[in-house]
Amino acid sequence: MRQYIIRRILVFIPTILALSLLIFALIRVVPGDAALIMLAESGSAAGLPGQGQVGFGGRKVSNEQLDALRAHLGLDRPLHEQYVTWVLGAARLDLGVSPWSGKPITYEIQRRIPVSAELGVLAMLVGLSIAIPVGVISAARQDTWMDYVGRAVSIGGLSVPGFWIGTLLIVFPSIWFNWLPPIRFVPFFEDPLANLQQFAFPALALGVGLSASVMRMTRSQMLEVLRQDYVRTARAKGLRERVVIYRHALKNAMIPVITIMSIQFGHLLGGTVIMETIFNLPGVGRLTLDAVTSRDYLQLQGNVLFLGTVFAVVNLVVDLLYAWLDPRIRYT
Amino acid sequence: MAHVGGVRGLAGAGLVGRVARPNRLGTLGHFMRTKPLGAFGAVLLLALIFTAVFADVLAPYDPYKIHQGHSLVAPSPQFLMGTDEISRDILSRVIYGARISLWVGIVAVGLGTTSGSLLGILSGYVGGKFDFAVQRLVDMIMSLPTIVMALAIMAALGQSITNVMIAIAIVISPSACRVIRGTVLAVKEHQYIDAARAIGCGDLQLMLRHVLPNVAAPIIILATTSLGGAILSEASLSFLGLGTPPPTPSWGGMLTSTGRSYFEVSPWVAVFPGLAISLAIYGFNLLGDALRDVWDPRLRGR
Repeated sequence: MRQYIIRRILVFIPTILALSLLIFALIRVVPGDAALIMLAESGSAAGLPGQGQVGFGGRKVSNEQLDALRAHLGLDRPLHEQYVTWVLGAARLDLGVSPWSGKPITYEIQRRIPVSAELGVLAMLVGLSIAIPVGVISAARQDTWMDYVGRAVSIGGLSVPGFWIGTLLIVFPSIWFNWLPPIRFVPFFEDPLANLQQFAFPALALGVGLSASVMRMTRSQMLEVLRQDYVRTARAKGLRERVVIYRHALKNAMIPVITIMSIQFGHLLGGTVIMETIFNLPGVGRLTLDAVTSRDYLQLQGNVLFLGTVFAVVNLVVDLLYAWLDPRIRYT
Repeated sequence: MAHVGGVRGLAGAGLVGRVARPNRLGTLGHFMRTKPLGAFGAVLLLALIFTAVFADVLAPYDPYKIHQGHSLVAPSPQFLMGTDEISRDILSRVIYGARISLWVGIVAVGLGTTSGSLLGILSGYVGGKFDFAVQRLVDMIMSLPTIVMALAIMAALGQSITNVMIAIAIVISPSACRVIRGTVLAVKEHQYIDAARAIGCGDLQLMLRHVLPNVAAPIIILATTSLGGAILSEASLSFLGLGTPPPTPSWGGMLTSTGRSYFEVSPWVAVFPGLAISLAIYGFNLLGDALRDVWDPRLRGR
């Protein structure tokens, strides 16, 4: 086991380095002068001085501003130097200072983590509490109307875009009950009830989407496990069906479900971008989208690295968990 | 060559033995009976394709036309799905939206699966260091959640339909590459490959004439199942304001935040485009599931 853990962690480091290289390259692909686009499309950068004008897209940008921003972004230095500085900074949790907000990028991310984490955890809970019971019932009652309804609904859940569910969850309560989501965000420890109210709909919209694939996996795994000999033995012993399903079958069916959940975690991260935008929650996803629209490439670069790292860490944890649960993995 | 023909002939014979070849309608009927949900999905997709192709004929109005004095009109005989905040007919925009969705989806999936598959074939066939390098590249792209990756690509390339297609293709290609590489590794071990090599086949000919046809089925399944995802990605990006630029009618774009303040008073603006996306993707998912069951039992339940 220890050897497996070491090997898996050794793979983790190059993954993160490769990820950082990809993100760095991606942001540098920006056609034209990134600094000029940033200034021209978003107005003047806070705190950067300058006079003397350059025309771009109808907006006037001063030469000094441009030089100051280039220097701030490090665009005036050779590529490899830019990359090394950025990665070494990232290792020390220093991703630079956003030229727009004037605050450190890690600080901006850090203070938004609790919002995204709460949304993610609640969505996961919603997803699992729908997916597992429905998946188990669907498998235990294979080819009955319950199974068909469960499957049709789960494919439906895969098909309905989260942003549409989210939009409808804002539109219809407001029409029917005159209920609007609060404009100001309330942290959990300030007012737990108001906070949970704020998170209920986005978590529901995100959770429904997650539940579909987890439910399908649960169902197919349960079907497989229920055909195993030890399940037949359990039944032959005269155990009640409920005990057979929950104590004997479900436990073993859950292992692959954990894998699908790690894949779903990627969707969850993407989903937070959408839900935080719709429901006006100040999370990391929202910050990322804002960085794209305000052309804050430095912030965007940092956010994408952060999201990718979180994704990689979750995959690492799931792999280790998997190896711990299923000893066969360690030896392959 | 004779060996190849023989193997394929055998596989063909197996197929012919089960479902008589001349009776195409019978096969279709069989599919509809055993996979009613899949058949329903096919019907939805045919409707989607029909709508996209005949959008000019089906749409009651020009999707860009502003009907002065008719902003946010509720569904009525004149405007069956109502009008949006700048007085455009929603039904016409939904109909033309089918064209955009399908077009973006097909080009993106075509680009993504073709490049991914070719790279996968090459990677699996050549093996060694090249394979290792390609697979690490795939790991790299897969290490970001799809939407985040697409978002970053759109931020770098800028907003346009072509760039949406490129972004979605890049997001799709790694999984195609990985799946096809796996299949190629299995196909490579077959004797007919040795036989073809023995009679003097070159590498290129081997890959294109002998490996490619044998990995065609997974490529087709991948393409079908990716199409739904591609349409969803286009809609999501457009919803976030980074996809198909306005005023082009795109389903996701119609739901975007600019119109959002009107949704509470005029919910039809939000309902119909979302319904269209959901039905289209539902169709792809149902058909994709059924095709997977029929063609490739190994992938069943995944």
